[in-house]
Amino acid sequence: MLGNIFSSLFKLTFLLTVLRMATPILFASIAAFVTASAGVANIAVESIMTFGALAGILGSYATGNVWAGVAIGLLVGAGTALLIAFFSMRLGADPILIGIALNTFADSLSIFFLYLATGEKGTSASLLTPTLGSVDIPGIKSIPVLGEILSGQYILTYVCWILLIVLFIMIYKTPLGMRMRACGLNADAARTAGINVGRIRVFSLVLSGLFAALGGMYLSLNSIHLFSKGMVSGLGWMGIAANGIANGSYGMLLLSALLFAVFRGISIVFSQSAVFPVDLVRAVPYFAVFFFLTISSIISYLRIKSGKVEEQ
Amino acid sequence: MTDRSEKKLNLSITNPTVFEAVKMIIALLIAFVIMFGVLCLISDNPVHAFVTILTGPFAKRRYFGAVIESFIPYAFAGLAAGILFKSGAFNLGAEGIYIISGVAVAAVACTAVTTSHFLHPILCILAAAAVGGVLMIIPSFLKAKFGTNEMVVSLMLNSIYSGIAMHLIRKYLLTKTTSTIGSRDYLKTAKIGYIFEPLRISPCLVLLIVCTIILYLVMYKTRLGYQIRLAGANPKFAEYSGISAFKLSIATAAIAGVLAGTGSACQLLTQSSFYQPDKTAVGIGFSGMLLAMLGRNNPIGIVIASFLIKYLEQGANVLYFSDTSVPSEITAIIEGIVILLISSQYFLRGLREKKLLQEGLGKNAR
Amino acid sequence: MKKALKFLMAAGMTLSLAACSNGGSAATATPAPADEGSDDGVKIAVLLPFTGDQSYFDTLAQAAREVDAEDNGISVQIFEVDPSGSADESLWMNAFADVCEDGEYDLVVSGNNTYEGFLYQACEKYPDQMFYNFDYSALPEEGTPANCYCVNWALDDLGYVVGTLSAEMTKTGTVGVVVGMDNQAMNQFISGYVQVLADKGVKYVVSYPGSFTDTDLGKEVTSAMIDKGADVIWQVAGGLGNGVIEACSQHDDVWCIGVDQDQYLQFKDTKPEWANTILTSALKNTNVAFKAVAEMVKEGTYADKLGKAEAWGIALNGVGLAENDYYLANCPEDVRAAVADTLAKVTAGEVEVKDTLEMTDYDTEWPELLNANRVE
Repeated sequence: MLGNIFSSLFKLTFLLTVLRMATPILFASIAAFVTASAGVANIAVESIMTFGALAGILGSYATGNVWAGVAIGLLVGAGTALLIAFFSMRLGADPILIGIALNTFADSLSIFFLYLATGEKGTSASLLTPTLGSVDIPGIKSIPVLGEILSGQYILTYVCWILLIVLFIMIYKTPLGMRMRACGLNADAARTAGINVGRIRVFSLVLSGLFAALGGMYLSLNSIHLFSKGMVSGLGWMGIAANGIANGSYGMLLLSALLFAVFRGISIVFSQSAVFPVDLVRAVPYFAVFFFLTISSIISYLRIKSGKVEEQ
Repeated sequence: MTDRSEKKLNLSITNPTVFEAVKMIIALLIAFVIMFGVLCLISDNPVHAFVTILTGPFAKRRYFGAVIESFIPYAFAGLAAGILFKSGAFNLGAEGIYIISGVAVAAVACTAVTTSHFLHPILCILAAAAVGGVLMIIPSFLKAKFGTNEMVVSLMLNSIYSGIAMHLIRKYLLTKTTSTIGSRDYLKTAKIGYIFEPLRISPCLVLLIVCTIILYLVMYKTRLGYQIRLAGANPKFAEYSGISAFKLSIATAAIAGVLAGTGSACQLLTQSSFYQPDKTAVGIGFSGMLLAMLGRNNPIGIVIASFLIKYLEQGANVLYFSDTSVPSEITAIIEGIVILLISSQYFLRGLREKKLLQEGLGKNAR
Repeated sequence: MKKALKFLMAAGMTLSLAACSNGGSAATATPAPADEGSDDGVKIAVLLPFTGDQSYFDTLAQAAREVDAEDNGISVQIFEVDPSGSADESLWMNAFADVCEDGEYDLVVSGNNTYEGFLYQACEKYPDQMFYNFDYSALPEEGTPANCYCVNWALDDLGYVVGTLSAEMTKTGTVGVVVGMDNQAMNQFISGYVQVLADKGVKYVVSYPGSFTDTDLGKEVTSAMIDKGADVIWQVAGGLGNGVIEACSQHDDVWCIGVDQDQYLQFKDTKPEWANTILTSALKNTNVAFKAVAEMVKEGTYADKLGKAEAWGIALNGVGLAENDYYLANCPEDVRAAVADTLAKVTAGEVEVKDTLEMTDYDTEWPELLNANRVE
């Protein structure tokens, strides 16, 4: 039985499944990462994903055009992020508490709005909404193995991959990115250097809101084609977890996000044959972060103690 | 020179306590205005709806009793978060603690460890408090010893405990007949009864009041409390004063964990007859953090804040039963606004600073 | 401070004006239902924890709304008592008190395995109120309350019928089912299902994703099933089922079977590509029973049912398949005949369908039954 499970992991279909499932997790991860690199903690990723998912569906229903719906979803994402920015920076509230507040109210608020729009509290199934599909890339499609991986993915998956590259370039290869990282590493020094820390942080929050909204819209517009109560199901938290492991390293961020997607893929296999208890399997990604963070901090502690590294 | 005759009660906005109270009232008023606006949009009789939300719980004793009964677990969660935040810790683990302590409560409540109606609940509470006290320490310990990011660790532990709780209930305590994952019914000896039935005053309320008073005294009248507050206000100073940051973190976390576990036990034993790990105690930990912030990390303020919030929620519930067009989610709007406004340090700060300036200038001008 | 004081006084005055203008009605909170029909109409209150589960609470709520909307002298009020599903005792007992205290409703409806304990408590507390438990799993120790009519659904029979249909419709010899959670109550849906499939030698994949909401996971789980060759897939997973349907719709040769409501009709206008993959749905006709009960209350014959606990099986049209036009068009004559034959046999008691809730030793019996012909 275990052998069966093991062998199914090495099939192409598994890799494709993982790539698909990774999309929302990657969106959530970069949402968490971009604000963290500017020195702000955004833990409201899960709630922004929910709002974005709902706004995308309702928007595309209202306008009859799916890309207009995407735009509306993005606006909602950015708007929520601006709300966080306003209350944390202008009014001095703690962004973490705002995040907690948003997460606490996200479910009831989204159901409330769904109810206002459709009269139902479960799904948007009663609305006729245009949705997004996948894209076939003509030339690449015919390449044997790579073709299946690179072509035929959902539109928003391609958007995700492009954003990953663009974000990397922005953060590590542009002056703007350098300023962002400066704000995250040492805000006071950045201020002395003349950087407008507040504005950069707001910018990072807006980006975060956009990414998170895209993650939510992937689920509602691209993957499942409707909004369903609770559909984000912890993916936002996985993004935060991936950022927790990353600790500033973009490569680690992507690796962790992919790793979590792999865990989700594995849980599919486990769901069919009760080898491991399903509840514990679902907790594995979080346990991985916990484990990783603990080990790495123990290691740096030991290194400091033995005098190898200067304490910061 | 301080003129002795000027030492009267300073009721102006420059007095910090008065300032906080004024902030709270104005924030509440703004939130009420917005809620009224929303009510106008969705209800046919917004004035009736508004007044019902504000006065509903007084209409019947059992409504008020529901407020009394339901605010207790939230108040405990608030106290737990309050002490952590006051000490400067960012341990957000109360959420997970509520869930996993619930398993401890269910385990003790479902097994016949004693036939005494008096002892059984006490054992449940002790079990939950012990579990909570020990587990809450983990993120703080890692932070104190190795510098691990306690916020992320505590958030991860929340999800981990959720999974573990589901698994434990499923494996050892599962009831056959529910389609959700739930434990067996608690034995009757474990349930906590009421001292005064109509108003639903149970021993848990007494427990809460006692804990609040003890906590207040500890925080403001003992050396430990002073050290905790100092560590929160100025960690470096605390360190240089020779206070062991490590021991302090552990102690604070342990106290918070015990409070959280107790709150979880109170909730399960008064408000439910079986435990669903993914539904019963979910969200209370996080709500407690918001309440701690509303109460400015002061034990008495936190308890008052919890009571007020639950009062409003019950008001919305009363409204719902007389006018189902207003879903009870409406209180989420008020709570959200009040929380956002109260938590902002700079809200009305301009007003206060102007006043401070005026007073200062006024004195000099003489 | 003066500015603030002035603001406060103004606000205070406005508020008190508002309070005054409303007279004394602020102090009382008499439950006044939204649709105040004539006093000799029948009034029914339905207490659900929440709606929007895309499962049978929604079906009941839908039926309640339909009955209410008809011009038949029956008004139905739905109360969503427990949005987070926490089964909070004071919440529920307060709700029952609000609804039963004044004797305002002729009938109070509630039920479901997680929450029925509160209904039974209410039955004791308000002996003069008539109750209806629309889905019971367990009865109180003392037996069915004298003022309540309890109904349950032969889900095992339903699963048996679905299994028969799947066995007949499959072209690959493998079928599948996605069950939200792995526990005894949910497994009642599929105990008959796996039994008949094993008897007929059809292989089946059973997947327990462990969630009723994670739609993306549902989609991938189903895709994996389809990869294993399953071509008739039944979803018993609430909101997660949306992902199952999505995955089925991506393959022309895969049929999906819905649950709890006629999901073909649900999606016909808004999502035709989904509707086209849904052959039929496994129905728990809570709405049929509810309407029947409402009629009985209106005609005054409901009292006969009090104190009884009945199983609504196939014979009473309590469970069955959604036989809409699409089903009739796509299900060959001989298959339908085989299904009808099975239905008759089960009703007549010729077949003994296994029921997880009646198993004496669930922990050993169930895995045996489940894994009989399971594809791993």
